[in-house]
Amino acid sequence: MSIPAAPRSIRRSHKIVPVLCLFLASLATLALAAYPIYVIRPFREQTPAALERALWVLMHNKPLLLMLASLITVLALLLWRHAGWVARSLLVPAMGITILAAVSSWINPYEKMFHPVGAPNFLASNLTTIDANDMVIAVTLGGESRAYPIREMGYHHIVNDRLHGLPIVVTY
Amino acid sequence: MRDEETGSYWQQVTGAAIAGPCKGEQLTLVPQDELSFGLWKKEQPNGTVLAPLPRYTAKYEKATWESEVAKLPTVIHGTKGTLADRETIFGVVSNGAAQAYPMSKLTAQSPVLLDVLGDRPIMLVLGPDGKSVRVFSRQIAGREPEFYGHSVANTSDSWTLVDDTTLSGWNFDGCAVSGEMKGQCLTRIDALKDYWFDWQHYHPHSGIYRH
Repeated sequence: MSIPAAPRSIRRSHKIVPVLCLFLASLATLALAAYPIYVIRPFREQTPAALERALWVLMHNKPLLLMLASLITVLALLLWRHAGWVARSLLVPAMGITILAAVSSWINPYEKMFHPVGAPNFLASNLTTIDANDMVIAVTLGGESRAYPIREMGYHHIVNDRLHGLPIVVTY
Repeated sequence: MRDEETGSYWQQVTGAAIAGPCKGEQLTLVPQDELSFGLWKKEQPNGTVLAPLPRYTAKYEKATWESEVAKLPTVIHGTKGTLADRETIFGVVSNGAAQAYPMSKLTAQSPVLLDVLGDRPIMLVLGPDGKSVRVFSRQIAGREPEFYGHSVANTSDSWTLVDDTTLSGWNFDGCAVSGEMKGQCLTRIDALKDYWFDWQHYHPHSGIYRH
């Protein structure tokens, strides 16, 4: 007497539900990583409320994503053994997506676009080739004066400096 | 801006921390000027200049950057019927009153524009280079004089300012260089060179100087 094939296929189709859930969960982790990057993208108006939410997520999503990515990966590996090819073709991207989300949360692409000057060097004014008509940001403290040319500042945007003992940040 | 020590986010224009552990903190604004290099060099012959980083020199802004940026669209807009979004203005706050002074008005009234803002008599002065601008309070030694430009020949400056009460001569640094007031200096008022749309965003109740 042969055992009907049904139980096996039923078992398979039951397995597809947790796999599908896992896949959707991986998409949710991607959304969690992408949300702040989407909101603060340049050349777009950011309302104060949306910006506040996005920065909150940006500052808090790393440990959560690390935990979720580990959990999803472990569950995916546990399900792998009894999964059919359809399920496996969902488990692979689920793991890939969630690991990508966790890793990308440590990288802020907009910060990569900027190159702040952390340890600035300075030249005597007669040693520069700056045009007399070029504009500079000038800061004078206690008789010491510094000029930060706008054409340099327009690229670096941020210079961390110290003038007359006072730590200052110059920004444009 | 984000600081590396606490990871807090700071707003560039205001210096206020808007998110993170430092939220609510406020950086102190250090007095600063936006001057032409030639003028700054003359005022501060011993000053030093930020050295270009060789790695990035090719990426620095071109000499024509100002007219290039002026063509860029803006993501927020000033109120319709006021000024063009990218009109260059000097924003001044005095006793809580904010006012935008278009660069075009300054060049038209060069070298000095007199006004009263927040009940305080002030003046905006366009430097001898025709580009640099400084703002001063006109309250000095219990008086509130009016100033006017007086052209001078054969000097490195093209003008000197004269006050109408003592006829003393004043320079672009706001200090009297001749006459009864010699040695006295006017109080500087911070001014932000900005585009109108940006200034209005941070000062929604700002007026516009129209005279």
